[in-house]
Amino acid sequence: MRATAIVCIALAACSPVASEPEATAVANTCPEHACSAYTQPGAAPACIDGQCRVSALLANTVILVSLAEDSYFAPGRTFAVSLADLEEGSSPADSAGATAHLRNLSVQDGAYTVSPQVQRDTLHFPLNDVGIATTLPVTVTYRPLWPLDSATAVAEASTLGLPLDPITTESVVNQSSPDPGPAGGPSYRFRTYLQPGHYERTIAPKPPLDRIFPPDVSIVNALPASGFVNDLMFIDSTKETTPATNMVPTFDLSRAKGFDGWTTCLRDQTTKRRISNLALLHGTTQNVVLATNHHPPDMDALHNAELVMVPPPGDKLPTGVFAPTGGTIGSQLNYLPVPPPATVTGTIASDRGGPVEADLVFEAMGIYAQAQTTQELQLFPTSYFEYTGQTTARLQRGVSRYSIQLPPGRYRLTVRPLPGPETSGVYAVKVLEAPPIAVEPQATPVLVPPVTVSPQVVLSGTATVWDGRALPDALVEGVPLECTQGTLPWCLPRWAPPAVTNAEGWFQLALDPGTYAVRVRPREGTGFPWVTQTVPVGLPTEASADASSDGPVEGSTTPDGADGSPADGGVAPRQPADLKPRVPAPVYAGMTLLDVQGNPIVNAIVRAYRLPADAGAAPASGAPTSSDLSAPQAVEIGRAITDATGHYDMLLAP
Amino acid sequence: LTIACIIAPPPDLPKATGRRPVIMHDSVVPPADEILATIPSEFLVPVELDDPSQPFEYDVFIDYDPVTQTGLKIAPTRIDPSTIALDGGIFLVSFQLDPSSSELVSGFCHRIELLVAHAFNPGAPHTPDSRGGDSVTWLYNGGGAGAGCPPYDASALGDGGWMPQDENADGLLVTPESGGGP
Repeated sequence: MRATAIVCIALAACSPVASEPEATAVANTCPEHACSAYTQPGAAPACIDGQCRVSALLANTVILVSLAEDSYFAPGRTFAVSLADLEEGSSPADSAGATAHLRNLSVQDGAYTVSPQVQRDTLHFPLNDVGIATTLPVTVTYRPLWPLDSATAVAEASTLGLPLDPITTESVVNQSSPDPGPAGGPSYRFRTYLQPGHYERTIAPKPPLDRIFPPDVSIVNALPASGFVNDLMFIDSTKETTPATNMVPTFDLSRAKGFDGWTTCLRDQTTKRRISNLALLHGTTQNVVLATNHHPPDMDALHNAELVMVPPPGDKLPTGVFAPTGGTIGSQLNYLPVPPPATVTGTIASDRGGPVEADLVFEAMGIYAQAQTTQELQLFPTSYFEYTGQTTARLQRGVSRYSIQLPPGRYRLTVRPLPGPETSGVYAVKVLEAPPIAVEPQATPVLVPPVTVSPQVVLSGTATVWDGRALPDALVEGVPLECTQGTLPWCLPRWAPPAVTNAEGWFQLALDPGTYAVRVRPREGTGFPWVTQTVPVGLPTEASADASSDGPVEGSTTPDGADGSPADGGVAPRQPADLKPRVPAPVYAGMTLLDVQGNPIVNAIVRAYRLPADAGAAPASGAPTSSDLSAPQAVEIGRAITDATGHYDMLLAP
Repeated sequence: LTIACIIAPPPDLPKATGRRPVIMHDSVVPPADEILATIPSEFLVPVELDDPSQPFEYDVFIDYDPVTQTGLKIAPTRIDPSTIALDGGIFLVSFQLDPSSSELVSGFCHRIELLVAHAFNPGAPHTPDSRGGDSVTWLYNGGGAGAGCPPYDASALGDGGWMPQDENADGLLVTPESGGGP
């Protein structure tokens, strides 16, 4: 009896342990899943290190390395290097990837120094009694250009969608410098470090010195070296003078009702950034000197410049805009009389009639002003005036109302519905501009017809792997592309809340009208790359170009995971179609990063972006599976973090 | 032989209680030791997990008011990392903010705060459960300058600071690059 019991216990103890149920996540593993099953175009996948991978060149790929704050090398800086350049300068790759060195830093060291001649003779503002060069306290901004290492770089990296923020630094007191500060005080110098490359550098004097001295705007090539650069101020002159003697731009400004509290300056017509001193105005007429130091290519101070007269904050008056390029110096610039502002009111509701709270922006498309010759009110285009008014429609006694004061004119109205308990679901952004909102002079108050907003466009799709398996548990995002241009303070369309694919790979996104990169991010560790697809959503067709229509916004996508361009070659189709993104076998793009001295780059966040081959161009044919190149701006396609040896693994779509 | 099979295996070690998720503060993008003049396209926060299979939550506040307990911008979001998902137990949390949102009015200093925890107390998303949590804070001033924001420690090389030689007592304190005294 005793022996029988012992045997039973022994059998129970030696029975196999039940295994944990396997994770349901689909993974890129081989030979469990044959690489031959991937029918993706291009090179055939092969089983490497237990994953199906392909070998391919990754064109137009940029790697951003954000170094940790406790890094020995370049703490807190973000390096941007094209993958091709990084691989070119690296050691031969093995299965763990290549080893690459980041380039040495460029130390930028300088001062904003004003010569006695500029102080006394040009700007008539001596900074000290002894007539010597003087340094000013400044804020310095470096805006990365792209390609960074190319002398032909013309675009700011941020405009291409690369998250390379401007690098700013402040000057500090430096008592070892021979050039004093204002009034014989201590000297000022600035110093910072950058990744070598091309930047737009702006050295802006701090208030109140910015009222006299202009910002120094120039393109600099930051070389991997250090050295003090005493950037002696050069004040641009203009060629548009009669007689032909160069002089600093000077203007006679006038306004019948007076300028008290107003400011004026010159700004760049393209970037809208200030390029001259910021002059304060008073009285009804004033002669102002607006000096620039922006190194124009043709040495004309007014190159691509426009003069703006800015009313005091809170005044419901438009900003006056004058483009003096090609004009004459000393010209009379008159701010024309503008009728008093009108009160504009209205309501926002859903297509079902319920109130919807929303942010609203009114952008002037034309402003009424009294013409100088006829003395009659005339609608002037935005090349003469600009005005943007913001307000919010709030729930009041069951209705969502807004009220705002605007200078009379014509306005584009953008409505951005707010999520909230009063609204069920999120409604789509709506733009009313054809016809615009009319605010007539002496028509107070102006009652805008009720604006109706519709639910966001719902985009659905099914994500699969190229070997035929469904892709569950993947994150699907709608990444907005191409911010709305103009004076709108928002970037539209908005980011959409991400979705997660279900067991069949199905997903659904709610989006505003606009252009998106729909990005599928398989769960980390599955061995699959991110894929993106450019999708225009709800763009107006030729037959429905009336933007004032209150009809529902419809989605438009390309069928069957194509490139995002309309199937018929014309305008985008109106009917929503299911997206079918397919995830391919990836290219291994892991690498080991070292600094110039061979130290590992530890705990740095590495992001891969794919730049458009040519903005607006169609993508390469036969490559629907990868991150397409038709996106009008860079889109992130992979992300990793380096380990203690500087190594990171990254799998990218071919 | 029979007796040997009878011997019971030693009992399993008691399972350790999971520890709090920890933010890798030095690797946060954008760095949190500078006043932001613009809202970046994306915030990235690496979170180190003691147990890579352990779920955790994160949320985001803008100008959290401890009196009224308001300011929640992104509600607690649960992350269920799988064991195969994490390389070294590090998970990258990312989030976006709309710079034109009413909470981020230009010209004022704003405090953007991301918190991580195993879980947050129900009804109090600024308070982690008993395992504790971690947080990272950015200061944002849309005006582009530090006006209105608390002063920050300007390192000599990091922000262009210049080592003072005979700085007067009223001047800004600057941390020398070497860590030594001026």
